[in-house]
Amino acid sequence: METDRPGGEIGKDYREVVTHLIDSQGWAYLLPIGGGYPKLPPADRSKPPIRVPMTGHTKGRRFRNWVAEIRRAGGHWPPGRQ
Amino acid sequence: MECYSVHVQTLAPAGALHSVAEDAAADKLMDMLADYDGIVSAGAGQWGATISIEEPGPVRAAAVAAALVESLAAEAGMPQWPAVRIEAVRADLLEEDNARPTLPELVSSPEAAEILGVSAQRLHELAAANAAFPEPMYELRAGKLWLRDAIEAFGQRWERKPGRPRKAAAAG
Repeated sequence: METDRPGGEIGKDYREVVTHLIDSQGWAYLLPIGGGYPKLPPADRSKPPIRVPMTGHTKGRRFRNWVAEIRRAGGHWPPGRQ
Repeated sequence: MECYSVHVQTLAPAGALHSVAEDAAADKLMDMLADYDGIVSAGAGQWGATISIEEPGPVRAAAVAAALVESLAAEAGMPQWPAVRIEAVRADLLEEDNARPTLPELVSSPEAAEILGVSAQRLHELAAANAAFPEPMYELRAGKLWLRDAIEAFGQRWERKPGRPRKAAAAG
């Protein structure tokens, strides 16, 4: 699946996770045409795409809930030993 | 009152598993759940939401969150599929879970030898002859990989015998 790359439309902490998922785990990132939330389709295509918040405190509850969704969909975060 | 993160997952009935929630509806639900730190996932035959909610315990948190998500999802125009999974986790425990890597820590032969303080050759002898030595998790063309925890646990239980092994001593 082709992927967009995350930019300034999402917060720095979300961008770090999204970039790792794209580069290391086969996830994709889809920017909507004409507005709406970016979507993150997991590498396991049987799992539903996860929306990425565009505002909000990255270290707050919303970021925690989002990371939990990522992990539930088979994403690995934090990264393993480098 | 404590903060709980509650995940609600719905699944389409058989026969509707290829149906997909409209993007506009899922985006609207995401907007409506912003006050609850909500995250929405939506795809073919399923959609879910995770929100934060303050309640005295996980049972009530799960019930209140599920009702809230169901109500707002209907208003947003999401498919009215039944909930099949509801998980409530206290926020501090979720934070601990999120900080824990999901991938196990693996070690190669040289790393396992280093952990046990033995040579590479001795490691292979141990792996072959010691029944308590852990099985590798993976055997790749590049070599074997063990769980670091398993090697460390073996190292703690292993009774090291000083001197050369008897077979080698008898041959010498």
